[in-house]
Amino acid sequence: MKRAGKGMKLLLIFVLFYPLLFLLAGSLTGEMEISGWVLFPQYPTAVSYVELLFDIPEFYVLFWNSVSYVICIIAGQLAIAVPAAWALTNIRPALRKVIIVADIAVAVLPFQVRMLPEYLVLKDLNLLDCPAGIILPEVFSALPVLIMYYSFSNQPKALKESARVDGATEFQVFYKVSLPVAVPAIATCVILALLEYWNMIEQPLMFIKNKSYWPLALFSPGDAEYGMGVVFAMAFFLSVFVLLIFMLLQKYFEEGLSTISKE
Amino acid sequence: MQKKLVKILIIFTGTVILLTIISRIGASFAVPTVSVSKPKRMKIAHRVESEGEVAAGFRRPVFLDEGLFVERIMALEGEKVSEGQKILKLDKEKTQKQLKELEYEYDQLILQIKTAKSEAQAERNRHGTTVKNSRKQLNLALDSTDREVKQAKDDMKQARKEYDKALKSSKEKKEEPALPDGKEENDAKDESEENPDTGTDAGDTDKENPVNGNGDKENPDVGEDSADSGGNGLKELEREKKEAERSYYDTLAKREEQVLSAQSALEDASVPLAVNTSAEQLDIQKSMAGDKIEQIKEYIKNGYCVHSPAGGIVDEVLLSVGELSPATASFIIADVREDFKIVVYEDVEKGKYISRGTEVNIKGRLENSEFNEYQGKVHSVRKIEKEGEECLEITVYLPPDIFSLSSYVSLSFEDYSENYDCCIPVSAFNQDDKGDFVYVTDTKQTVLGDELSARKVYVEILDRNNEYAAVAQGPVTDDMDVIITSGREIEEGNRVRKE
Repeated sequence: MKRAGKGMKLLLIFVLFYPLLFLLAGSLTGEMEISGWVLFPQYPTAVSYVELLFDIPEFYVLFWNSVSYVICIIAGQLAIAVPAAWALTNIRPALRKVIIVADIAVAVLPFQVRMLPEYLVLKDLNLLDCPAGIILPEVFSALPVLIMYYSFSNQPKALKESARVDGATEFQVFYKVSLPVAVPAIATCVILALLEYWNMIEQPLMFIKNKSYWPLALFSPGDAEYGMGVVFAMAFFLSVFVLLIFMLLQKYFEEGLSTISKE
Repeated sequence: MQKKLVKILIIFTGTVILLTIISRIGASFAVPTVSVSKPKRMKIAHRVESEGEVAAGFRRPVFLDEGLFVERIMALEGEKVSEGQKILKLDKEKTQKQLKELEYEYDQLILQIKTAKSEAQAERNRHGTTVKNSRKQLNLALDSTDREVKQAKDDMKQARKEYDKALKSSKEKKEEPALPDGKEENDAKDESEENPDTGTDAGDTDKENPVNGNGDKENPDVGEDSADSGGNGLKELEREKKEAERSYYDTLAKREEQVLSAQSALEDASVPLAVNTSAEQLDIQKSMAGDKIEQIKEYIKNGYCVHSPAGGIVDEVLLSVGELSPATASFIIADVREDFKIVVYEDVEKGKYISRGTEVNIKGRLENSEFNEYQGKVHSVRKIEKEGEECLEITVYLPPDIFSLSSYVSLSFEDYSENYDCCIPVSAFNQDDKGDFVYVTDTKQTVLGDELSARKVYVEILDRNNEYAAVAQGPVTDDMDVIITSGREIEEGNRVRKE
């Protein structure tokens, strides 16, 4: 029984890691061999990595574009969402309900629905074809507000009351008591935003024509001048990067999810 | 674990930063650096380099009187002489002797002129007398022959009259019984009146006389009748009449002959005399001899020396010591006051851009080795044959104080074409099977930003020199950046970077 369980585990791990293995195998396969699905290349070669890392400066331009977008969006979201969520916890319940419902309604809207209004607004603001056109709409995302609200609202009221009794101001209560407790929720917001915006495709395709502002997700599709091996190497490289960050914040992410789910 | 992950993330980020820098440096090395230029509107200058010797533009010949004895030449070839400087010395004794001879000759010529003039006068007088005599002869001939003609005419009239009279009386005798007297008399009267008229006419106009033979034709009939009827007396009269008429016509003919002869003699005598210029010719010879004497006297006065008529450099000496001076020039002096000239010879192909007025830059040295430069224009271009090959003889004139005479100078001829709208440096041109082409840069928006790429454009070359070529407008326009030089060989579509 134990063996069967182990076997199942291994199978599950293989299935989960298969895409990563596939990317790794593809990135190590030569151009002549890469036409089919090859998991174990006959003549493994690191030429795709060499080409990607040394001969294609475009890759780094797009990489750092993506890093910039993600950092700016996450920082912006936190700067907006955390105070907004704290304010929600302290307003009248009736108004709070209305705002939360509206927030949820906005949060669930897919990009395809928001695309046209966003485009028109950005056009009026002359923000098309510039990085701000991608960053600003995402800074005001509704989901981090909800996550942070649930995080603040799930904190024990006694904690804040005792701080107030001890003479703490409202800002000190927020900054020194509630915010440290909400770090897992913040981590959750960061990971979710990272996953979403690291891989964003529609927004840059819609709002940006200048290729030098494109994120890394637009590197492979349609760029026929690079071989498949290079694209596999790039994908593996990025997966490792995201995996590293995810592993780094995994502990907080789990805590954050559990905190939110208490509501 | 958390710390390890942070460490890995930091290393990963650092590695990516490092690789970013490396790939950027690699890319900048991989992209060829090019220099570009926009097509210009300009004239294409055609330059031809050549060398030539500075020569005198005007060479003045110095003439001496022919036959002077040269004792010493005082100016050598290449020597600079000033105006009035002694260039030749004549032999004293021989010159004196020559002067005397010339003076004798001069005196002789004076005498010859006198003789010639008197002979000419005598001839004119003789001619005048001959004409006068001839005219007199003609007048005499006219008078005498007129008298003879008049006498013959009178004789002829008399003979006719007598004959008519005799004829009338003979007829009267025959017709006396039948015809009344009055009528017969009237007829005879009419007839006698008609005949004198006819006779008068014949006498007045010489040439009509033979035509008046009508009377002769009538008269013989009448005479025949009378001969038949009248007897010997009538016949005699008729014969006398005919004799008189013949005599008259002979006289006329003789007159004409004599007059013509006299006229002919007059015409011959009236022919003008041939122009006799011997006196004038001798006079000219005398003047020439006089001039020559004056010239030699001048030489003697100057100490038997000949002076240079102008300043300059002796280019050629055409006589020798101990010989006689020639009829042609004795010296050639390059006049340094006049323009110098440079004559160069060029291939027809190379010189096709050189024409009258083409600008030329001349570089050379002065006598003191100082470097000098002059901007001039071509004076003339002539196609000639030199050593069996056709070439161009190009002449340039320049002021005399720019370069020293006989020095070698370098010439750079520059001819400018019409204005072309699109001129590109020749280093931009490449060639393949399809013809000449240039690379122009196109701006492409890429991930790395705005990048330049090379695009091949085929062109038609209209004109060119060593630096620029003019191309037909169309494929290449003024606003294009044409790649002039490249650090590396480039191909269509290659990324390039401006210097």
